[in-house]
Amino acid sequence: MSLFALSEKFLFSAATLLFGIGFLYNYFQLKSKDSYSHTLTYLFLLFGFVLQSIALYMRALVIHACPLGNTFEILQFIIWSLVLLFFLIRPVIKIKALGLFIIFIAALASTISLSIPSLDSSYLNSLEASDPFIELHASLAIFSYAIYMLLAIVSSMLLIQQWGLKKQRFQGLFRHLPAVQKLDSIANVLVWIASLTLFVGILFGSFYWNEKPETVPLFKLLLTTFILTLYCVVGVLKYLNKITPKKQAIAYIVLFTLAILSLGAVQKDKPEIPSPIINFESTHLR
Amino acid sequence: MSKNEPLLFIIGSSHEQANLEERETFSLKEEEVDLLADDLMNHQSIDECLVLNTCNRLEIYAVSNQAHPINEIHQFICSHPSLANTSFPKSNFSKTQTDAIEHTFKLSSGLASQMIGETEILGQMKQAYTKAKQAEHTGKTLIRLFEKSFQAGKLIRTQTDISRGQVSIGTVALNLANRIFGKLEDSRILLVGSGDVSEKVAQALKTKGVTDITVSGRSKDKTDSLAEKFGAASIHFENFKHQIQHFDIVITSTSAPDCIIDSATIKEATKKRPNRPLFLIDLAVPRDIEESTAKLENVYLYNLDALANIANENIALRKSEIAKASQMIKAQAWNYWLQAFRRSMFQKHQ
Repeated sequence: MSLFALSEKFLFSAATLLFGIGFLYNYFQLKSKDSYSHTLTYLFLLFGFVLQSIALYMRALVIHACPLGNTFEILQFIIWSLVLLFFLIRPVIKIKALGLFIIFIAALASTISLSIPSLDSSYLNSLEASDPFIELHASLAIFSYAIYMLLAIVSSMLLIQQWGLKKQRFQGLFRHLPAVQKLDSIANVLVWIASLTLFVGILFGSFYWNEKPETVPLFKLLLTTFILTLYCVVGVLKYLNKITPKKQAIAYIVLFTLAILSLGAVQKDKPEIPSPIINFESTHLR
Repeated sequence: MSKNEPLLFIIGSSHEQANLEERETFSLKEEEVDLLADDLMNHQSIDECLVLNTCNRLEIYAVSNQAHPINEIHQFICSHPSLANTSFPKSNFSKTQTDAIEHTFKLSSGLASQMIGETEILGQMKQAYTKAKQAEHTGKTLIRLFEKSFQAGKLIRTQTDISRGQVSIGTVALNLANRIFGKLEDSRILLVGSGDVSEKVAQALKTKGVTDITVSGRSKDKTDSLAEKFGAASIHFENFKHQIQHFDIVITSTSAPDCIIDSATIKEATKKRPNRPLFLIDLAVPRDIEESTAKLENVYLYNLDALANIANENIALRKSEIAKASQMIKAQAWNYWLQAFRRSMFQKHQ
């Protein structure tokens, strides 16, 4: 039986299970042996990523576009991009324990997206959505969200490390976290990469919206621009030494939470274009 | 035991009875230690005495002719002017005869140390012993006890792995600095004071590539010799507080009776470097850096107790060695006690 014979929901669930098992196994290893297997974390992430890729591809085949039609798909796409980012940056920048945090967030976010059925609601499949500009806009925007998610993870690691140092904790996870200074430097770079990616995404979107002004999702655009501006403000304040690494880290976590929460509002603000309704309740490819 | 037989006893206080804050109150100066020893020798019940004063303990070893009960001597020590207003009277221990012997052997082998297995205590005991001997405060009981304890300490260290895998204060400080700064090559260190432990910490950091070291101290000679040892720069003691913002790691180990760095000074320094953390290592007893400094953002303050606790976290790995060493100490102490008993019986029958 080929993997394509399975429903994409099953593949998403299997990927989530792999992320979950990978995290729990390493968590208990860390608790009992004060160390965990980086290779196993990597393998669990890799297999989960492969299953998730197939599932997203199956959805993409149905709608002939990036599967970003509802909150469930957006969340899955962000998780997928996050894991991809991890694979991309891992050989270049060594961030200790990042794999453990990524697998935890991937398992958690994926479980949430699967356990709330309303997130995967039917949606209108805009035929115009297959326009290359809007596709590039969507994928770049989601990829920037993945970078922001990575930024939130790095910020959490920084806060945990700072807390551990203040409370004089030396064992377990604290022993495996990177240096405060390194996490701060990475956060300083990530915020600009993510913001630039989102800005380019919006720029490509504007090429499409310029041709079809009636399709401009005004609320979505304003909200996204507002979040992008806030990220840039924090980045500039940090650059000017006006805020400490701790305050910066808290700001990035709060901003990412806002960005994710705003996804629901953004979804409701879709322009109404007559389109076929896509329902993934029984979608599977043979 | 008859009433006129000599009684060996120890009255003391260490990290086991008193925390750092309490220990600070009875951290005696050299002249206070001398005064205490002289006053003890003037007590009609005491024939021999030795005062061991380190940053972690104050212990009085004495041999009494039992003219007065031990409680009275205990009271005399606790009400001594140098100790009366300290935490010593309420946080102390006393041991006699075999327990006292066992304690001395435990101490010399590093088993009673805050960082189990450390070797520094042996040197400190030897120093206190030499001083007491020179002052003619020791007699045959204390001389034999200390000579035997040095032998026991060496034996236990060679026959067990008690000191193996031991994490030093320097290693702990190094690991912490790594957790804060990552690469240490660019870090700047300021050494305030010239204590042995701070030198070791600076040495440990230097082995990891730290080259930018500055020293500051009250004594110009000591500061200059330390600066020469590390190839470091030196700054005037009066000026160092205004320079803190230029350093990443500040190690203090002065013998100042009060804090020399307050929270306001550090707050001011961190304002000038909001992007870089400040790692403060306070190795002095009494402490050099105000405790409330630890609450400041981007500041990490570690004192001797905190570093020792972290160093002892790997103690589980050496538990079997500790049990083995304890057994050996017990055997050694009994052996010594029997020898002393036989000797006293022989002298009585002569």
